[in-house]
Amino acid sequence: MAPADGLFEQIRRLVDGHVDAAVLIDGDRAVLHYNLAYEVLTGRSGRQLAARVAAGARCDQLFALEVCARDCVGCGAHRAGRRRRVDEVAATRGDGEALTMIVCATPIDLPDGRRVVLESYRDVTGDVRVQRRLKLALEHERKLSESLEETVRARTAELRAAQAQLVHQEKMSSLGRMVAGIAHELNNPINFIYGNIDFLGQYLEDLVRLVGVMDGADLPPDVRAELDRVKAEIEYSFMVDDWRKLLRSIRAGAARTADIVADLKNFSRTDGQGLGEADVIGGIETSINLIGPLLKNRIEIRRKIAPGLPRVVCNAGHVNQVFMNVLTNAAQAITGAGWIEIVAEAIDDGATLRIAITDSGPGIEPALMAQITDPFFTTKEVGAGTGLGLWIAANIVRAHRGTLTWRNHPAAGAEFVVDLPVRGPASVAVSAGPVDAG
Amino acid sequence: MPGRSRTSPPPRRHRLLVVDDEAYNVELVARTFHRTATVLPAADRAQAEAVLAAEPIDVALIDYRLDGPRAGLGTCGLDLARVVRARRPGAAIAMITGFADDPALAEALAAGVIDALIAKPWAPVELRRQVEALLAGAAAP
Repeated sequence: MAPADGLFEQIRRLVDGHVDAAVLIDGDRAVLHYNLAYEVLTGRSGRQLAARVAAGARCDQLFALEVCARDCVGCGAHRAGRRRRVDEVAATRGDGEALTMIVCATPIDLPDGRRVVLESYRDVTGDVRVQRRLKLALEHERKLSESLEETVRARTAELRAAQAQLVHQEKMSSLGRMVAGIAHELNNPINFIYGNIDFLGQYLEDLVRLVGVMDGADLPPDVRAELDRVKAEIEYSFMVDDWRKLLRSIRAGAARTADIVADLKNFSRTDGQGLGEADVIGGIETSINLIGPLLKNRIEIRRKIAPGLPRVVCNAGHVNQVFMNVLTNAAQAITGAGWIEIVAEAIDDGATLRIAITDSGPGIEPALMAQITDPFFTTKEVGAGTGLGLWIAANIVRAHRGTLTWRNHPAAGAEFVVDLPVRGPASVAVSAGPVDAG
Repeated sequence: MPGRSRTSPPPRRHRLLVVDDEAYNVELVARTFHRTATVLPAADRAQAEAVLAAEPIDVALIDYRLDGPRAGLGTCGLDLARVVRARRPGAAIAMITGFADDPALAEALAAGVIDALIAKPWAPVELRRQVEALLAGAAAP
C-alpha cells in the first residue's frame, strides 16, 4: 500500500466515522467518498446513490445547498487551500424537507499532489427552529410587557384622575355640607331678629303715641317743664324722626342676610343626582358674589342677559360649579383692571340656554388650546390651582348633555361658551371620562 | 305688623305648645301670641312631654331639628309630632323648619303626621295667620 493510498484510506475512514454527513470531493465536485449520514441526507438508497456516483454525478446534483449554484463552498476551499465554513445555509433534503445547514469544507493535499476537499454538513434545522421560536417568544414577551406597561400607565392615569375627581367632589360636597350647616345655624338668629323688628316697631309706635297724648294733655306747669327738659335731653324730636329709619335699616340687613342664607342653601345643593328646574342666571349671580374677593374693584362685570330666559332642568349645585370655575379662571387670568362679560340667551328656539363668558385677560396660549380641560392641567403656579376646575366643568356640562367650548375672542381674552339643554338630561352622572376639546 | 284689636277680645285663649331649643325663638312666639293665646314653652322633648301630660293643647309648633345640628340628629321634630298626635289627637301640629324642601317633611305632611309647614325665617303676622288657619281647621268637624 503506497503511503498516498494509505493517507487517502485514512481520510475515507475519517469520513465514515464522521457523525455529520460528510463527502469527499475533488476540485470539480466529483464525489470520491461519502458516509452513511450523507446518504441519508440525499434521500436515496445506498445502491441508487452508488449508481449515481458511479455515473459521475457531482455532489451538488446529489444534495444541493442554496449557495451551490453561485458559490460552491468546496470549490472555494479547493481553490484557496483554506478551510471554509458557512453557517445557516438553506438546503432541501431529498424528501423535500427544508433544512438549515452548517457547511464546512476542508482542503487536504495528498502526497501525490492531488487536492481533495472534505465537506461536512451539519443539520441545524432543529436548533434554528428552536432559536427562532425562542426569539419569537421573547419578542412576544417583550411586546406583551410593553403593552402591559402601557396599560398600567393608562390605567394609573385614569385612576389618578378618577381619584382626583372623587377628592374634589368630596371637597365640594363637604363644602356644601358646611355651607348648608352654616346657613341653617344662621336661620335661627335671622328668625328672631327679623320677627322681633315688627314688635319693636309697634312698641315704639305705641310709646310715641303715648307721648303725643301727654303733649296734648293739660298738665301742671312743673310736670310740663320736666317733660320738656327730658325731651331736650334725649333729643326726642330727632329720635322720633330717626327710629323708623333705624328700624328700616335693621329690617333691610336682616332681609339681606336671609337672602344670602337662602342663596347659600340653594348653591350648596350638590347632593345626589338631584335634577330640578333651576335659575342658572341666579346661580351665576351667587358665584359672582362668592368670588367677590377675587374681583374686588378691579374687575367690572358686564351683563347682557336676555329677558325671560327659561329655567333649566339640571343639578343646580353641579351647574353652579361650572360657572364658579369658569368665572374664577377668568378673574385669575386678568392682572390688574379688566372686565368679564356674561352673555345669556336662549337659542335653538328656546331649547338651549347659552351662556358665554368672555374676559379681558391674555387669552389661552394657542398651543395649549386642546389641553385646558385635561385633568391636572394648569398654567397657574404650583399650589395656586389644582388643574381640575375646567376638567370638572367639562364633565358636568357633558353629563347634562350640554357642550362647553372655548376660543380666544378676536377682540378680548378667552371666551367660554356653555350650552345647556333647557329640558335637561334624563339623569346626571358625572364621570371621570375623557373630555373632547372644543 | 302685629294687628291689635282692642275692642273685641277673643272668646277663648287657645293653648299653644311651642317646642324649640332656641329660647329667643320661643320668646318670639310668646310675644306674637301674647294677646290671643297661652304659650306653653318647651326646650326639648322631655319638657314637651311634661306639658302634654299636664295640660290640654290646641296647637303644637315644633322645631324640626329640635336638638340642633350641634347635638347631631338626635330627636327629630317628627318623632315628637307623632308623640303629640298620639297624646292629643285633637291638636293641630305645625313644623317650623329651615329645611322646608326636605322630602321627609313633604311625606310627613302627606301622611298626616303634621298639618302644616312653616318655613324659617317666619314673620309674626304670617305665623299668626297660619295658626289661625290651623285652629279654624281643627274647629271644623
